[in-house]
Amino acid sequence: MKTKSRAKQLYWKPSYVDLDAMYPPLASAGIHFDDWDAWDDPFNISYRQYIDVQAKKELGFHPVRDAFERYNGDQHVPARWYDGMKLAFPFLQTAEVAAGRAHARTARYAPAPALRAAAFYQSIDEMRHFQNHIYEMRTYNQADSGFDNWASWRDNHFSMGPARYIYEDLMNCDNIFESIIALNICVEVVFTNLIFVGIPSVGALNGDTAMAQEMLTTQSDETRHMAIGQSTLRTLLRDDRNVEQLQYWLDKWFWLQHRAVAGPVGLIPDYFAKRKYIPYQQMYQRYVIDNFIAGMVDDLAEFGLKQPRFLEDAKAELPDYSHTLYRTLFQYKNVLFNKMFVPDEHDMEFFTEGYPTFEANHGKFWDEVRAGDPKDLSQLPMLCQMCGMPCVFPVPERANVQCSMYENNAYWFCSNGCKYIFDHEPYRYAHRVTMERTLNGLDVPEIREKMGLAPGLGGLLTADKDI
Amino acid sequence: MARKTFVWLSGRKRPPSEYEELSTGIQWSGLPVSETITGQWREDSTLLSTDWNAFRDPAGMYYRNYVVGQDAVEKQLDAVYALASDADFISGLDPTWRESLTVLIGTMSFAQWGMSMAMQHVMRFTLSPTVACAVQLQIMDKLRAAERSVEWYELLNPDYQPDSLFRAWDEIECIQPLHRYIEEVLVEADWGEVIVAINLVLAGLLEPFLRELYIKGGRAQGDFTTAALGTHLAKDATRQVAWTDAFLAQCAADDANAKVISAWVDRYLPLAAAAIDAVVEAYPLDGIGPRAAAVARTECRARLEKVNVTLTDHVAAALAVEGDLS
Amino acid sequence: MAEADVEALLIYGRAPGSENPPLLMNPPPDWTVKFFTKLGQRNLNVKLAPPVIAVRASDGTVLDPEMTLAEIGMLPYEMIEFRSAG
Repeated sequence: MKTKSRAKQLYWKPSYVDLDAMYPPLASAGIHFDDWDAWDDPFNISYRQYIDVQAKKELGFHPVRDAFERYNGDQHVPARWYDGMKLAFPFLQTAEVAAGRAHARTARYAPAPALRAAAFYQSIDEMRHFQNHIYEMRTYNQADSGFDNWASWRDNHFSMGPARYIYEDLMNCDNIFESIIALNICVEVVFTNLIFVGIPSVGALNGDTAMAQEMLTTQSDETRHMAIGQSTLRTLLRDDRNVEQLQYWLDKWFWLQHRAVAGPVGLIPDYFAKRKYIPYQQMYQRYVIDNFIAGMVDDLAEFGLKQPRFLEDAKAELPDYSHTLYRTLFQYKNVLFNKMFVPDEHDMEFFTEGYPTFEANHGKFWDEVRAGDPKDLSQLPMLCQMCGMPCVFPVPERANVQCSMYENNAYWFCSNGCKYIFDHEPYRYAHRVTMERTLNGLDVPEIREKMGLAPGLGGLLTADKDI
Repeated sequence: MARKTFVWLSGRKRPPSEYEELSTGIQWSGLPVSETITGQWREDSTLLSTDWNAFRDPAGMYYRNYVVGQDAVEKQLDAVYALASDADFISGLDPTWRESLTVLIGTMSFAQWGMSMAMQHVMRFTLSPTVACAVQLQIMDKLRAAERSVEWYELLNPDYQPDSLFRAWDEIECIQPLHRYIEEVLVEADWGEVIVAINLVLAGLLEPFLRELYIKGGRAQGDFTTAALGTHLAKDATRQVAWTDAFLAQCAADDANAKVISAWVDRYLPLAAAAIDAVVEAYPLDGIGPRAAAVARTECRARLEKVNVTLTDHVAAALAVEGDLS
Repeated sequence: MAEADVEALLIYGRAPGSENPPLLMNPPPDWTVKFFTKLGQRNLNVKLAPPVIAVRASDGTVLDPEMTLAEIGMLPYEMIEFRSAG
């Protein structure tokens, strides 16, 4: 089998139209590189090899998923797990679609031929991923029809706002190198091990072998994507005129992915997993901080790249991240499409053992819930203009809400990181209208209607089967 | 018990296919979340206007059935190429055929690649999720066509110089109208126009032309490899024809769209026909070339009529075929 | 005197120590800051130690409790933070 790409040699410089018309400079504006044709080739895969490898992977994944359905695997999965997956999968699916479309643009318009060739395969990989995630939702839907309108949640629900804000923005980037830093580095190098390797372990422990297999097979494609990211970063850093721009993008997108990806993901091992693996804080330490920061970023220090500006802010949030987000969503359970539950004794023990500040920061909240206070809120929270998350971090009682004034309007942010990004690019982000503004003044039934929540969706999960 | 499906596919007599469940609901609408020049998906990105979510690919392709299906056919073509090489069928080919073929196959690699590149633009900006899925897989088909063409070129021409492919694409006179056509489409922003210019018009002529040339020419010359390549690429192209014609027929049900599509056909078809004719003139290949061009015109015309394009005199003249095709 | 036809205000309210996130409120413009401070705390499920002040969050200005919300001239979607002055 021929394994080397032959199509790479088929890029040509135009004879009948301007080079700038065929490859508009917008796609790389501000980035310096001497000879795009000599761009370092991240990998050299042929169609033949791609099809062969990927067909084999399909054979490995689908039988596991089919068996899970056929043999009623859902009966061995706690009810709460499904409610977690209702949040996770529409989110992931949105990210993959946006990534695929972003790299369609890279494949067409990147200034370097080798990068265009690599993006071809990434773009179709993302199709595989978004379809794999839908396969999962199809499977879940048989056991729990709360997945049946996932596209509507993505379009209308405030909890999916971060997915739209961050992944669509990644797709909307003018500069393909920003998309690459945002996606290939800050999602795929930094966070996908957390999602697609860490979380499957949790899933398998909780009986969801189909999801575990789906995540792992999705991750198997990420090696290619990481290679694109790493080679792009290394290559561009050789020209020190690029350092400032690349540093900004690293700072920006690390923070945004810490919000969009790492926030919701934390709910899974800490809360929606009835059987516990390890505390989320430890997973983050292992897969993100140790792997990425100590690994890659320190490597790139010789080129002048510093670790992400808001890394210490991210670390500082970790003892509370999942707990703050879970508590907040709990208060909005009546306007969610998934159910929320009260953590039981086993959960509380796990939290107090794994998180030394849990009792001090969150204990009182849950004591009051157990004493009968539902903590329900009838209005949506203030949502961060930048990331779309509620402005509640690190803990609601001491939320680090930030403000910027721009064109005589006040904009609010959940963190220093989100404010920093907005202040750099206010024209890009000022026109978003966060959902609590459009739904303000409506009562819970009206909010539910506007977000397309059919009766029976959301609320409190009271029966969680043992496994 | 029937499978539960998603809300937007429910309530129909026939349950949705796996294709539909995997390809619909995937693209969102609404105000863009950020203001960049590139933007999100814009209604004004094409002159066409239709229910973007209504389109379905008649071939029903999605990632899984695509890779599994293509893996099977790639194994077939592997065997053909291996035999051609291992049993040295190549040195037995007629030298004139081999020389012509080398130029044609080599330069057509660029055409296939260029069509793939044009489709990347469509994929990024199309307003229809199901068009995006069909286009993504077409991009891969064209990648296959390009790579298999280059592979065959290398086998036919083992002493090729590193830049010989480029020089052929850039310098051979009869290829330039095709080369120019593709470049001019590559800089068009309207993705609907690109679908018409590439999939309906250029591919509408080029795919049947190459099919006839490769298969009939290969058969006449005892060159089973070229015939096999032609068969495989033609089979892949049937999916492209299916989705394109279904999409444009859906659009053309509306008069305003039909006018827009007809205007695009009027602009591009004479250029595409002239590009094919230039190749035929230089490579008549004992009459196979002109016959292939005639078959291509007949098939293209039939497609245009099916999609409800108004054939202007200009277009009708470009598609005119002399004599019968028997 | 005819009542001025003034649109309701859109103001975020927050209170450090509240377990609730900042919430968007629609107080009538003729409410005083003092009255809004009392109701705002209730909305935010918090009872701060008196004396409680209202601060314009965008610039830290302490608001005059006797002024009406219309008179203080906040922009739409600005935030008032309720704090213990002690």
